[in-house]
Amino acid sequence: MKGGFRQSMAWLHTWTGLLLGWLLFAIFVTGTSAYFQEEITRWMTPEVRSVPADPASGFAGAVRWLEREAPGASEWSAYSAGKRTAGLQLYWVNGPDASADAPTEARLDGAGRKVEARETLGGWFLYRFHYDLHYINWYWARWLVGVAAMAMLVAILSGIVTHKKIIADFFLLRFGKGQRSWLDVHNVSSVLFLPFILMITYTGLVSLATHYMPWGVAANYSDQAKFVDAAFPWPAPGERAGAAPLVPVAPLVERAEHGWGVAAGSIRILNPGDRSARIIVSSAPDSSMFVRPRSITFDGVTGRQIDARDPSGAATNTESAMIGLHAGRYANMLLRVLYFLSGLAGCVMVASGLILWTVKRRARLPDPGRPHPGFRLVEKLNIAAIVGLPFGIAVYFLANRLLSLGIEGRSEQEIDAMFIAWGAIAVWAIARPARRAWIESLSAAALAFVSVPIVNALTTSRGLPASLMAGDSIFALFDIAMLVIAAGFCGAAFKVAQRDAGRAANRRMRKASPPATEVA
Amino acid sequence: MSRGTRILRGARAREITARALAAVPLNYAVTSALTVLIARLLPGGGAQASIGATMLSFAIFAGLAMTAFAVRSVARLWIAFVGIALFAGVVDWMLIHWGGRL
Amino acid sequence: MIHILLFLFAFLGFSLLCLARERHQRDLFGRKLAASTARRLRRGGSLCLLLAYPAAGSILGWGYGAVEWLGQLSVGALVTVLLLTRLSTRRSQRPTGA
Repeated sequence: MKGGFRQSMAWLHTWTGLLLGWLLFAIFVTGTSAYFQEEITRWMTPEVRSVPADPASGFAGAVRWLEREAPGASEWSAYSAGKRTAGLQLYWVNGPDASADAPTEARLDGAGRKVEARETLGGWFLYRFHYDLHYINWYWARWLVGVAAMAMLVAILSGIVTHKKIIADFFLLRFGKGQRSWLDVHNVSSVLFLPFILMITYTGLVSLATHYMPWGVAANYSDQAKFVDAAFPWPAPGERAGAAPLVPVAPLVERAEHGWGVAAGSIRILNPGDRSARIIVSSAPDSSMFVRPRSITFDGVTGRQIDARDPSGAATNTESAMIGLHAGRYANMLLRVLYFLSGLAGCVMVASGLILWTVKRRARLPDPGRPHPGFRLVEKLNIAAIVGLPFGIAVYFLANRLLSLGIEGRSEQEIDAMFIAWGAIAVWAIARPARRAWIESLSAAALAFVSVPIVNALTTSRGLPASLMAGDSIFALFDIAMLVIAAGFCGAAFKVAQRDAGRAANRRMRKASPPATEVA
Repeated sequence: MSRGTRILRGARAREITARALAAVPLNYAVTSALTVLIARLLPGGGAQASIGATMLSFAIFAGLAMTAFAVRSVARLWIAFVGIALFAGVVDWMLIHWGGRL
Repeated sequence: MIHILLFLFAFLGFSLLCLARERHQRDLFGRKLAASTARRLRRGGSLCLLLAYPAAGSILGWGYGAVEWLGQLSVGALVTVLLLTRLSTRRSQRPTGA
């Protein structure tokens, strides 16, 4: 392109970043929150007080529950949500004599009882949003997210190529210097966290690889089902052979765990109560960086080991590790905090890039008082994207506490509240002049976040004072995090207001001084 | 706006459009053809080759997208991309026709 | 334990690398250091950052250790940048005759 290699890469970096930046910010914010999705869900279901359980007794309790509630099923399965949550998610496939709308799933707490909590999708919704979005069919949503992820990858690579002074400018972070400061923030957040940002983008694409690039599979398999069977076999229940009692599950789980040296993550029981029953125990996906589990198949009547499977193959293991790296479920608490901080850096990177674009362009406007429509659009979209989504998330938490329990479609209403709030910020940003809109919406976000712990204390028995006294770290840290975020938005609103007041004073001074002195 | 400026502005828009079309839809065709080729040639059995080729495809796509904006001549860019796609496509067809699929 | 050690490795390493740069030497000390000193600082800093990986890997496992090593490097670099910014501004605000 004209102007040389570096210049064309800089141009590419700017446009891929700008056009997809608003969507990327939403993906980064919700994706980052997903590192604590279990904690968010716990906060959003204050009725549940979990009981720590070891996997074996947990699965035994699940089997007892399923024997009572779904005895005729052809298949039972129970999944642990990971080391950080007690409780199991159960699924089953009803037998032919069950009614069509009989339930097929349930959630049990650590003591084997069905969880009775307010209907909410909790932190899981935010996690799911970051690749499935909402209100859009998942197929197209994933394509949209994939386009954004590829744009991100191109932006990263072109950004690296462009930044010739990448080492020279490594340590610079100057505040209060307008465009220079925003560039520094953008550099620091992207360069210092480059390993994470590059990893998260590439592994994000790999996580949904065949959605975007099915041709690698089509090259070798005439039918995608054959590939799935070859790569990720999923045994189905066999022919029924007559009634027989199911062997106790706990000793089998313990045997499997002992052999692997890690915890079990799920069990599947095919044809329970039949002579052809099989019990498949799988390792926990968060027990190592490799997300694809190992599994052992036992005979469901005698308890004899029939089959053992270890995912193998260089490509399979690479894919397994890449998805594991992206999701970070294997990480202990410290590494999880590092993941979260890195995700925040990613959010800062995208946001500062978007703002940098307007700051740079504003300096070049022929008439700053009347910018062209493209510039105004970017300004408004920036506010809607950067402040709108966090504001919406705060309202999502508030809705969780304020919507009455037991109403129909409660979890959908919580989600609707988030998008209505986000939309309100967008409308406000369109209606108001940009500078005022920034200050007002940042203040609104601060207010919304500070309300969360207050409303929590008023509507539940697990407010901040109570959780601090009870040593309930998850609830306490969540409420404290809300206050910290509120303080951040408050500080940002102040800064913008200060700069605004400073600029207004400068304008007044220039107007007051006689025109002759204006000439250089 | 003078006629000269209008022509220049139009030329730049056309150049960017040509590069963007090469960088996205044409790139997808090229990358897909190359991915199929790699999937046929990688060792380790069908599943490993398919997974490996698929994972590499994103690096290929990103690299080609950047190339579309880096090279000087748009005409040569298009010729090269179309050429690679056709060549890889023909080889793919031959490999699949004679090697079969699982 | 290992986690604190890793952070210190990262912070020290980046601090040394930072001090090896002329611009930051001027910001912090008011003068340029000798080229040989700068070279030694650069080598020491790089060594610090690199040695952190075997330390992490031997205790946490080579895969897990690699991830935490990179994460700690980022945070160590960030703290270095923030500290450098703080010290540079404070120095430039001091009413010296420099």
